[in-house]
Amino acid sequence: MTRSPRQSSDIDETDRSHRPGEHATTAGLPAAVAEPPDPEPPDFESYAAARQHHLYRTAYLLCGDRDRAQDLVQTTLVALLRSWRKARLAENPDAYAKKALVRAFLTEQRKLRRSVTAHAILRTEPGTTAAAADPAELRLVVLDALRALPAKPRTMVILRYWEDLSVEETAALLGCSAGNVKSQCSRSLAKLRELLGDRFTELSEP
Amino acid sequence: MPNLHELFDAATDGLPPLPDLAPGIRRIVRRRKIATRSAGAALSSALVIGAGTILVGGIHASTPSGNGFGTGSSSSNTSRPIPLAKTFHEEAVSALQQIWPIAGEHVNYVGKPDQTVYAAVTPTASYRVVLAFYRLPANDPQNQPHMACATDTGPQSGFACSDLPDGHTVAARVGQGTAQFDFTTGGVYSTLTVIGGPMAHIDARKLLTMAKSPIFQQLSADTHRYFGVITPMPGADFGSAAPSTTPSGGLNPPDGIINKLSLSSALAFPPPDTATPTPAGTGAAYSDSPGASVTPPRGSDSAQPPATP
Repeated sequence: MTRSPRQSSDIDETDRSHRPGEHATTAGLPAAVAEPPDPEPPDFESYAAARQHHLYRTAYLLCGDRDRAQDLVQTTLVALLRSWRKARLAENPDAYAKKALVRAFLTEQRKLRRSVTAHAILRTEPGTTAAAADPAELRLVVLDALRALPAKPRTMVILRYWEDLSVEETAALLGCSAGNVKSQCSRSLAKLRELLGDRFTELSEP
Repeated sequence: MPNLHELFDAATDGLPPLPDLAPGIRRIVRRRKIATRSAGAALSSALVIGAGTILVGGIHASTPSGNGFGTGSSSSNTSRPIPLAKTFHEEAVSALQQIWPIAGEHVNYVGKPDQTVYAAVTPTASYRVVLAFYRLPANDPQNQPHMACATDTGPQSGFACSDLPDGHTVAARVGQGTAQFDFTTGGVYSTLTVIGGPMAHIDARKLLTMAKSPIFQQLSADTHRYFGVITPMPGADFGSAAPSTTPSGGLNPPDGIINKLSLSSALAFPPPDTATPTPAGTGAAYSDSPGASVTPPRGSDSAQPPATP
């Protein structure tokens, strides 16, 4: 990815504490016994460029609105940049991003709970996926079905079946127990089955 | 049969790509940092100003008992001498007014913030009253009870001597235009000097009554709190071994007491503004304070023979 000089200087400011090559030698140890250099951590611009669309899709599934999804992505990236020095050195910077996104969504959802509730009353019942041959119509049906779930169970379903996180990872990210994740996901799948039909693997009865 | 992942993938497949958000994110973060720093600086300034206001307000709101905010024991006198001295002067004026032996005379404070000079004023006369306190070292001979009571070497028109409840000696003398008592108790040598020409209504017995009164004893005991604030009270802090080099006639404090500011300089303080002009042909003005006037004595009933130890 090409960057403007301004962007490069910004990166240098943020990344001052960690420069390429610092991993090559460890203080107090000869270079021969030092650990091999780690792959260079990504800079924020390249990470954001690579992952922002995926975050956008996740946010869209969470909130069901493009503009809100874009706002959520921006909030997520702001939070990520503020802790980028730690996040970039982590094994999985995506975990930081996902956690920031989920927190932003749940926080916003708490603030908007009343308006969302009023909006849900006006909405018609979602159709079934069997009748949704058109991709646009399929999107509406899926989003309506997701909207029918409460915020936290919806987040669990998306983390489990869209982000492909394990039960434990989902529980750790949401700060709840694994049993809670299991039970909530089970109830949410039953609800989705009711709304979308049983044409999908996870929605079929075991 | 697709799974949920494929279903969600299909539902979000048609989303348009986002523009590059990173530059905007950096601007937002930078702007928030600046705003946070500005807010922090503003908060710090507000806290400093608030704390300063509370501190200054607390000092000014100090109670006469000295228990107010800002009257703690600190070695720094630079910010608090005036309020403390003012407190002392208020206490001293109140005490002197209560024990003043001549009815109808009003005691005012006429000194500078650090000088214990007062005036007893009537419509026709005024006396200058000087309080002086000297802190003594514990082993000072004057700091012992049951000391011999002796007259000074100068001519005395009246002299009286007595003991305080703690055994210390208090002596009072009335001379040519001056009256004085002094005693040492609690490590403080206390003296009160009245200047105003011949002492018509102040005799040695009245001075003794003043000195032994609980009010003055309490005032003397309280001077510990004002050390370094009111003068003269240098005492031992200026070296108790060195003899005094400031001659002050018959009004010198006892030997061994070193006072940086001589009592004579305090006695020469300008008289109060409330003094009335001298009636023609009566009284005598001070040479260093031409505005002062003193009513001549109306009798000599205070004259007493000098007492002997």
